[in-house]
Amino acid sequence: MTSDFFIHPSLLLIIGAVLLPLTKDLTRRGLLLVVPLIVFIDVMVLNTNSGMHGVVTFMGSWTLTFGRVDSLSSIFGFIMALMCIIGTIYSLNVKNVWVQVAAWFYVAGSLGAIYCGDYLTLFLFWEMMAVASTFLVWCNKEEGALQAGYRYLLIHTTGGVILLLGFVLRYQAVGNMDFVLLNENSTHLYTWLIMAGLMLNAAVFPLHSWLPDAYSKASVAGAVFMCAFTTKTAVYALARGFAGFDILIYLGVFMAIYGIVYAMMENDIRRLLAWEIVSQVGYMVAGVGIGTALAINGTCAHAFAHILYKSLLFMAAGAVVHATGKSKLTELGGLCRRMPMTLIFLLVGGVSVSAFPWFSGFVSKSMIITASFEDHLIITGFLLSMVSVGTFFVAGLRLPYYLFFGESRCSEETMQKAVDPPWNMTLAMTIAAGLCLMVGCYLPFLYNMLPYAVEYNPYNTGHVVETLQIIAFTALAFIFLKGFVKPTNTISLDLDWFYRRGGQYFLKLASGPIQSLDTAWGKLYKTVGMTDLLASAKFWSWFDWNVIDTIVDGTARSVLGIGRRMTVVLQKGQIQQTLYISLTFAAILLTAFVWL
Amino acid sequence: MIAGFFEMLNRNGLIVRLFCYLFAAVVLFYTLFFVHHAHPHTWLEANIPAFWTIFTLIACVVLAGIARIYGAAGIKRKEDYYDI
Repeated sequence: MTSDFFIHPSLLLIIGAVLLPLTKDLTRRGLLLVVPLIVFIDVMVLNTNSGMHGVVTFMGSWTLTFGRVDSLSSIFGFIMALMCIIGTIYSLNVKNVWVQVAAWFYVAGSLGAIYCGDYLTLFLFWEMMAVASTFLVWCNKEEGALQAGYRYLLIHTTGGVILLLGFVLRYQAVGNMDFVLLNENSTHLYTWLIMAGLMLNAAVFPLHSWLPDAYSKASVAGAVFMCAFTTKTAVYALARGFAGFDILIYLGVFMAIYGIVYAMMENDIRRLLAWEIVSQVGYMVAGVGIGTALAINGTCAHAFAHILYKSLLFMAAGAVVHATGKSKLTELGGLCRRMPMTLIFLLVGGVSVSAFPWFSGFVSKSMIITASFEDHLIITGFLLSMVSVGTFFVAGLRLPYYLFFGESRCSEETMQKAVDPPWNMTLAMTIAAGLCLMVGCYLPFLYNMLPYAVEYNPYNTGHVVETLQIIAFTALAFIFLKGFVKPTNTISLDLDWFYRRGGQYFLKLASGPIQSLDTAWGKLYKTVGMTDLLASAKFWSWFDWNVIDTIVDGTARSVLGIGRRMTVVLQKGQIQQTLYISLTFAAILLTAFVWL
Repeated sequence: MIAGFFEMLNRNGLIVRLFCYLFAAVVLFYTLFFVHHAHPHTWLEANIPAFWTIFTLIACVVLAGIARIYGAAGIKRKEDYYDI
């Protein structure tokens, strides 16, 4: 342990979150601006100081590490702290202070999980994230948010228990809690349990259904925070513990395709973006699975770029929801005249996620695809390229087109309400959009932060020409295929069917067959059981009285009977007679005593 | 001003479509005749002219087709599906 100065950024955020409800108006605004800035500076200082900080001995034998600063945790810590500033600015106009309190606890959990060096600390911060983010869902007063929050909490609690089970089994086997790379060649039950726990938070198929469900129901500002932290912290944890695990390549590619297909069918704008998170995190998970230096660099770069453009997209979509109160494409459309600034920000986010040259996705996504080709995973490379086409199709074309162009499906009232958002939201979006451009244009900004030193230049002719072809012909295809992906007033069934419908079926089963069985059983018991019981009780009572008692009590009764008879015979009530009998009896006894 | 520009684009879909066709034609032309050393990853890219154009068109049809068929196969349900 180095003996230098170490303040955990999570601690600062937690202190800030505790102070926040005690303040008012101007002080609160000041706090909202200053605390994330201090945390960001703290993270910057921390990142320059690699090594183990905040090492504590706990309960004798356990060593807890709160501040493991290395090349991998630095980049994730940096982007999370940056996102905290952007998200907090975006939430400045939110009156409900608990949104910001929950958000800061949430970010504190994320930063804590990123900088921790052991599983126990990881678990602590992991659960802090789950609980705090649930409140971000509950802060939304919209119908269905409460239920969605409960589903979210239940699923993450289950994931947490699986994770804890893995940690405990590993501790039993290995004898330490160190959060290090696990060995793919000797896997145990705990390896898979820990992986499943982390995969649940990364929304890896088939553990992904919570994400679109919760993110579309969260409060506007809450969703902006949520889209950045949970999945990317889990990607970090996977990169830390499971780099090079082949299974992650297959799962990552599958979730990338699955997410984009669902995004094409989706009607709710925030749900559409949430499906795209699943798709984009698929790239990162595949990158972790490939595990080469270039792939891990690509994963980190893509997580970094993704947080910026996805939060930008969520902020723009949130601005529409904030203004109109509507979130379905079938109730919106043709907003370009009313919300031009929001449209520009949405387009910047859209072209960034679609990997346009000079935007952030271009310099990050291609690293993962190139890594898969270089590792001779040709099919993986092509499938990820296909998803890249689909991403532009959905986020760059389908969403802006059906939200801002084409015929308006808005009511008169919605159109009236649709105006560009307040200054703070615009400022947050401007910062995010600026950073998207900066990452895409000025390569050293991102590339110097990556964990491995790898020579990679995305601006080579082949890559640029490939991207231009993808962009031009996706746009062309969209003109002809847009009818295929027209929004419909529907929801798309997903694996959450099993617990949502399954739960309802269980409830029906409980209220229908199980309850009637219970009633029938009660009746049967009353008629058959009770009569039988009464009859048998009568019998046993008789048996007890006449048989048992005859034997046991019979003796007593005979004694009593004899006594009573004796009384009748001997005690006639005359004193002389009684005296006579008594004396005679005494005389006999005396005689017997003398003679014997 | 910018709102007016977007509104103009929205009213005149033909301009946008023509721009898209032109852009696609330019890109295709450039790819076919001016790009020779593009560091291809695979044999396909090296030997099929304008490989990524063909790839993109197929990918769009496949993905939109899957979404369409999958949705029609019973995945898309009424919004009140989960409300009892």
